[in-house]
Amino acid sequence: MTSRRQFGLILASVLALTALISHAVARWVGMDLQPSGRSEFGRNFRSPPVLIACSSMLGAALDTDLVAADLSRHIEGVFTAGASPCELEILTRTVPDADLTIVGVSVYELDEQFIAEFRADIVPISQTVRDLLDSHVDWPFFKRTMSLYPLRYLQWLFPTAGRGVGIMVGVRSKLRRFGGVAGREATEALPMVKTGATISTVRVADWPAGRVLRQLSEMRSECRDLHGFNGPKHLAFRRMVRRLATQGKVLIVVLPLSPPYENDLLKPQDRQAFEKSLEDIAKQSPEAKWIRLDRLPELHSTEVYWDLLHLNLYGRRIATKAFRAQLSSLVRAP
Amino acid sequence: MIFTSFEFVFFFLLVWGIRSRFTNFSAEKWFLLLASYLFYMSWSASYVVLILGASLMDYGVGRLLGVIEGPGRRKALLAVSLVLNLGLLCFFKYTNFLAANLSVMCGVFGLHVAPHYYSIVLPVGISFFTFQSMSYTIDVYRRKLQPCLSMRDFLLFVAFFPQLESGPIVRASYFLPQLLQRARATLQEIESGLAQIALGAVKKMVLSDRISPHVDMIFADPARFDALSLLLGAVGYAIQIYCDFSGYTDMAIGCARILGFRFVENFQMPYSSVNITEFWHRWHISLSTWLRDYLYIPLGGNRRGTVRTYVNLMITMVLGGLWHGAGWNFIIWGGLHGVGLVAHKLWSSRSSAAPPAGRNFPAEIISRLLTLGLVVGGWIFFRTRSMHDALDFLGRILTWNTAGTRFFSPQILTVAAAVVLVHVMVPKDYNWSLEIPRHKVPVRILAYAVLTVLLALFAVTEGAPFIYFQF
Repeated sequence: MTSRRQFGLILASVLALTALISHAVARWVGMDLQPSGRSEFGRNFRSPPVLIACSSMLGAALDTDLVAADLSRHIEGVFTAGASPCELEILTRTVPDADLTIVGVSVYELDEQFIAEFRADIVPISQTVRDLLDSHVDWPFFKRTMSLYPLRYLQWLFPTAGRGVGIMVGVRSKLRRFGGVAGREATEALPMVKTGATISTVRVADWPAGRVLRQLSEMRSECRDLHGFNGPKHLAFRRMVRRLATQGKVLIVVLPLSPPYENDLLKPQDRQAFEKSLEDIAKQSPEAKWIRLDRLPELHSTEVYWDLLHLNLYGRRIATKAFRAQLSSLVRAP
Repeated sequence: MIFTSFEFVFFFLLVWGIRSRFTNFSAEKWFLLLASYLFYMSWSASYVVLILGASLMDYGVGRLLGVIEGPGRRKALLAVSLVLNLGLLCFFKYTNFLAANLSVMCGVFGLHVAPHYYSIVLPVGISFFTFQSMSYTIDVYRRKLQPCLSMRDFLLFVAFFPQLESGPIVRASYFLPQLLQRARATLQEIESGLAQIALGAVKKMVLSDRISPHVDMIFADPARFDALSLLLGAVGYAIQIYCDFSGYTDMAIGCARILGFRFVENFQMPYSSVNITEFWHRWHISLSTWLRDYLYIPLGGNRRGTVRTYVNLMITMVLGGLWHGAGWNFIIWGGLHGVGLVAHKLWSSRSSAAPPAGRNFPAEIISRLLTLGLVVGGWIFFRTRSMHDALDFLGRILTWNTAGTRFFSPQILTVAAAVVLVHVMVPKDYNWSLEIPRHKVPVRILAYAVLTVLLALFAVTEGAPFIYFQF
């Protein structure tokens, strides 16, 4: 065999072997490779549907079946992991006949430094470039966001590329199940916006302090200990709310975050910047209604979260109750 | 533009692709020079003037040294090069450190001088390219090297992009001859270069970047944690900096090899060293040999008696520490290693009279542990933000303070176990990327696949810049 052929054979074999293993591991750990998903609630009710656009955070916070029953409406949910307005702007276009849209946001989801895993799969590159240029982001952030696009192509061949945390969580979960530990972690199978997911009764309050710090350190590294609320996500949020308001009613639900996240990861000025960005949205789309679940004192406790971002079953009950209490009056309001 | 970014991958493929089209070697070198400056400009467009100016100055000094014979004038020319290079380094790196310490000194003498902070941005790679450039003028002055006649070749030697940001510090005598004759990488060299890049990427993206958030958290607020967590943090940092820096070097060497150039090795299993002297033969080899040849030996080395040898060692290591950064913690770090080297020399000189017959395993293990203890302890000074933090950090470990949060990091433990295993299993001087291509095809496929699978499964794609970029 000539050395050129040998080189080609080695290269092709290594790539093929790696792709094979990457696909096999992704499948084994049950990695969700769908960029976005849809779900339906209250199917017995008549159209036009109510649209819920959110990440898993609103999914964990609301009992959507109860909401559908309250509204006596059919609900369609569109979601993606870590969804920000950039992705939701695109996803909400897929349900054009909805006359009421409920959008879930939080400090985490609106933070420009946390970029959703599937942004490149959902948002066209031209839109991303335009938003990055319009919001005058710095060059490192520009590069960081744009690097998601080549990564997306790489992930066709190696679906696990850039998803190391997901792999580690998946492997750990498999090992725990293998060791019989998973059964001890209380979960309750309740409907979420994301179909098939379960609501945990685990409480952050029961975590060892080191585990909280570990998660915080990983989140801090992910956002490079920077926070911003005036970039592409903000532009997309403005556009989306403006468009949805012409289509029907818009209800924006501001979700709470766990106390460790609020206290350790955010500085007071980050909170202020977040509030300022919400004020800007409210000012330019005054017809949008707001439910501030983040202002409920009961949700400022580690007892009601199952990780640093998601409410657990106890938190979900509180959040759903508060949401339902405000829902009908807001929906009926002109 | 860091080696682990898509931006660099595109840049490198473009450079490699265009470069292979050139039929004229001179045009090819101009192209590589242009690419190197563009690479540098991706960090800081304005500082390209700095590297160009420093290179032109040293090129000019080198040419003059080639024609001037008078010892006094030669010495003056060398002084010009050293003063300007060290001046640049001092200005960009040490101005604020000197100003702060001047203010403290004035306070000691009862003079109140408010410390002033100057907003100076450190040019990327300045510590590396100034040392590289200085070694050229010193070698020409010592008549160990002929002056480089081609300005383009000299500029390329200083700015060649794979080693521009963090070395290895390539000597002119090693690199300039490679620019005289055109060399295309063979397929075996390309394979070996790719293997070395993959190995470096695993070290950086799978090992270093995976543990860096946890290490950063421990070092950000050491007072919060108990002794075990701090020890884990210190060991974690030792692993992180090794994987980060040697990973960078592997990628630099691999890139150069694919382009048909050779760089010196910079790391050879440093944590397997039996003593601190051996550690410095295996850690950042291009810097330690630079310091030996251009500082320790000119100071007198070991030729002027025992005490002077020890003093020279201390001076070399303290200045080596200061080279890394402007801070007392770096000076202490260098000083600690200096003390370690002196202690080892003392010990060796006393025990050399009666060398033990055969291998003394218990003594070797104790020696290894002592070496590791010194190295890991040194990293605490290197990594913490202030002397106060460093002493507090170390004090909590040494007194085994159990108050504070227990921070358990499975990542640090796993990565540390992997690095220890490699250091135990692999022979110290084994050069993976050169040895593997000599094996049969199935072995090579398997070896490379292990690396690419690790990258595909565990690589952090949004990792932090390399640690040594800040130096």
